[in-house]
Amino acid sequence: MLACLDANREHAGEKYEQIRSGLVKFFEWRGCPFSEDHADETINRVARKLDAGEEFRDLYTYVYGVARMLILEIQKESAKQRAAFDHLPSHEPVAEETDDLEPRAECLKQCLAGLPPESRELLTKYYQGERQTKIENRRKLAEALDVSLNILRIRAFRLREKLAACVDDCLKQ
Amino acid sequence: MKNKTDDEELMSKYLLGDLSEDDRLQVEERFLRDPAYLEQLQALEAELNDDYVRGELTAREREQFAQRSSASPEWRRRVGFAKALITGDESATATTAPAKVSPAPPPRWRSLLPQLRLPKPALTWALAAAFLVMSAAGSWLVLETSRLRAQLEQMQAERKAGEQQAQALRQQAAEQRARNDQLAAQLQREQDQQRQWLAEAGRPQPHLLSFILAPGLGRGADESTKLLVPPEVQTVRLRLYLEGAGEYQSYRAELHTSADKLIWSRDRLRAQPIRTGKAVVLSLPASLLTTGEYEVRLKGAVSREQIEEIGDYFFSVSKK
Repeated sequence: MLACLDANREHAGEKYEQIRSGLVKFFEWRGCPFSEDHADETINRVARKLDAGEEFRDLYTYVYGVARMLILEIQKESAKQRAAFDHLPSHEPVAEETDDLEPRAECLKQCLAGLPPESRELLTKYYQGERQTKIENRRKLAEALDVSLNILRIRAFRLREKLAACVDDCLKQ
Repeated sequence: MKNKTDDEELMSKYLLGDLSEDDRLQVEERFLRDPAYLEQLQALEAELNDDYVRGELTAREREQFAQRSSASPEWRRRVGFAKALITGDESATATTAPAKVSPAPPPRWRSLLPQLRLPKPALTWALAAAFLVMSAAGSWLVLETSRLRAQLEQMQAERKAGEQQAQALRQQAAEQRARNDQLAAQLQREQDQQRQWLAEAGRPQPHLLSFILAPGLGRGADESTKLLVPPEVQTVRLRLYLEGAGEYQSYRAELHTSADKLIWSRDRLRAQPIRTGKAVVLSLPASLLTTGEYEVRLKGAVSREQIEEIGDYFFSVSKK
């Protein structure tokens, strides 16, 4: 499959990662609980077709098609399971994440401290205020940094992802 | 959800599951190809998580968000992270709060604040704000959970009703198939008998042929509706099986060609018992029938003025 993505092995690896990340988000945003597993299953199915000698005009379109077929299978299967477990009480959404707020706050404290000061400042300013004030703050911050709001959002998001990964590692310890 | 470009609006709607199928496919195909677009979506999702935690979504958006995010453990984890971040952030943003507030026992995460260089009065206001936010969030969660549970119960009840209806329809279809099979078998026996007669050499050819027909079988749908009529036959007897039809004072039968031309009709017909139920029996002059397709329309008379359609019986004739 890598060879099909790019002649350069390194670039092919990057594209593979990109497809996989996209698939993980696809399954997650479509409401599938095991998005990573489904992404891998999609890639396996495509790889099997390639091994069997099938040729695709556009690999991305094909991958997307396989992913959509898999979603249909998952939905059918989960409908069957729901019917089988009708008598069981339903789970409560979102609430389960509130239990570990305190250790998470501790980890957040440590991870924030580990960020470079300018990153910490950007994050702090980005998340300052509520509603219209927040929007106005972000506009001013983007002006001060001479970037568009979209670029600012992406920068804040990358820092946030770094912070989230750090918090996850910290919680595991 | 304000101050967004059209593209951001589209992406937010995608994340909330509020797009048409076409738009959804467009967004998905694009983010699978374009990593920058995917990152933009993820950044917007992070903001959506924040807005949800801060209670800045509209009621509809909140409902859509809860429905979407609750399905994915990963997404729930990110909402949890947003909660931790926003709680810390609210503390950090309280720097302009008034100074005089009675001191409260410091929670463990209070040590976070010196690192963000916060003055003490801000901390107490931050604590109060955090407490209020958490209380409000707690109450909202209880209400949201009970609302979702009620919604789920209603959906389950609707699904059960649908399944029962489907089951009843399946049973009805099975009964219908069984009746058709029975009729087809009976007709087959009669045709076999007819072929046997015709095959027997030296025996006089029959002048009367008898067939049984079931309503509703489409033109040419079934081998069993093909009638083989030798030229010596003078009369063709058709038995029109009355399937589930009510009782009528009398019946009217009309014979039409495939070009919808009426070529024969008869009134005041009566139902007669047969082995599998009741039938109206027609005796047609064989000379009327040439090779081709035919339709018999059967009507029932409730009274002299009121006539009801009962069913259509299709058959084809082959003259040899």
